[in-house]
Amino acid sequence: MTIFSFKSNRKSRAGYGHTEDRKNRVPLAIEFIMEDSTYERLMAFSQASSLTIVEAVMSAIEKGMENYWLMAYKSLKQDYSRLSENHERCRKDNKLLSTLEKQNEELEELLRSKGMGKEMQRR
Amino acid sequence: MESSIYNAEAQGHAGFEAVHRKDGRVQVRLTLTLEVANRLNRFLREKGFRASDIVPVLIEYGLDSQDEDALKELREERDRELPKIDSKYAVIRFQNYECFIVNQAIAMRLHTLLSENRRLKRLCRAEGIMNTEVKDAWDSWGVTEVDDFYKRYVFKSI
Repeated sequence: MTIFSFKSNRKSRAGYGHTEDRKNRVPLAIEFIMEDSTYERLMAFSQASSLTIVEAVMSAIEKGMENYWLMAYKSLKQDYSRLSENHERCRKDNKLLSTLEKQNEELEELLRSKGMGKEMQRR
Repeated sequence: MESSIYNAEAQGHAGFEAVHRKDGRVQVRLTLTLEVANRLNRFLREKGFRASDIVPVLIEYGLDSQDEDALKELREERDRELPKIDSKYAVIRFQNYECFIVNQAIAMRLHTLLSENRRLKRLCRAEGIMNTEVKDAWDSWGVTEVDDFYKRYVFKSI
């Protein structure tokens, strides 16, 4: 993040004012990177709501702060759904891979029980 | 800034400049009004976030929060479902981690395991101690399938 300018809520006092200034500073300008899809949505929102881009972005930030926990729940739900799908696949793969590993042990044991231990090593 | 500024606007103290980067994302320089900046600053302090991390998320959240009816429905759903999801989430995450680690260990030896399996089956069939009609899922696995397992479990971290 780049903070270009700061505004202090309190006047700094000689000696230890710097620390208080840092605590109360307000970023007026910030730099960040967003996905192109979000940018396009922002442009569409700005046009649809007849707001300038600055008004649109500030309105989105304010709405975002207001509904932060609700939207965080939505993200958690999506994340949980992805995690469940992933786990299901992982479990199926695990069953296949473990069965393959187990079958090798069983076949070796079967061949050994038929007295083919040496044959097994030779071939 | 990798290309020319194509959208810049200033309204009093507020402004917005966006530049398309080569990686397909957009670099933004945003100047907020003091009122919004104060609210954002309070929010950052309360939640312990950094502005550059959370502002793009807040914008997305804000854009997703436009439909009041959908928000109301989501609120009701959250009150109903959050305790259930919350209790399952940590469990499934841990189970997934355990499963992933086991699969990773087996996937690393998959090529050897398959060769060994085919050799043992050949021996068994030659000696007539195995039903030749029985087929397993991995009998048809080739390079593509082995590569898929590698991509899923070896060349990927959980």
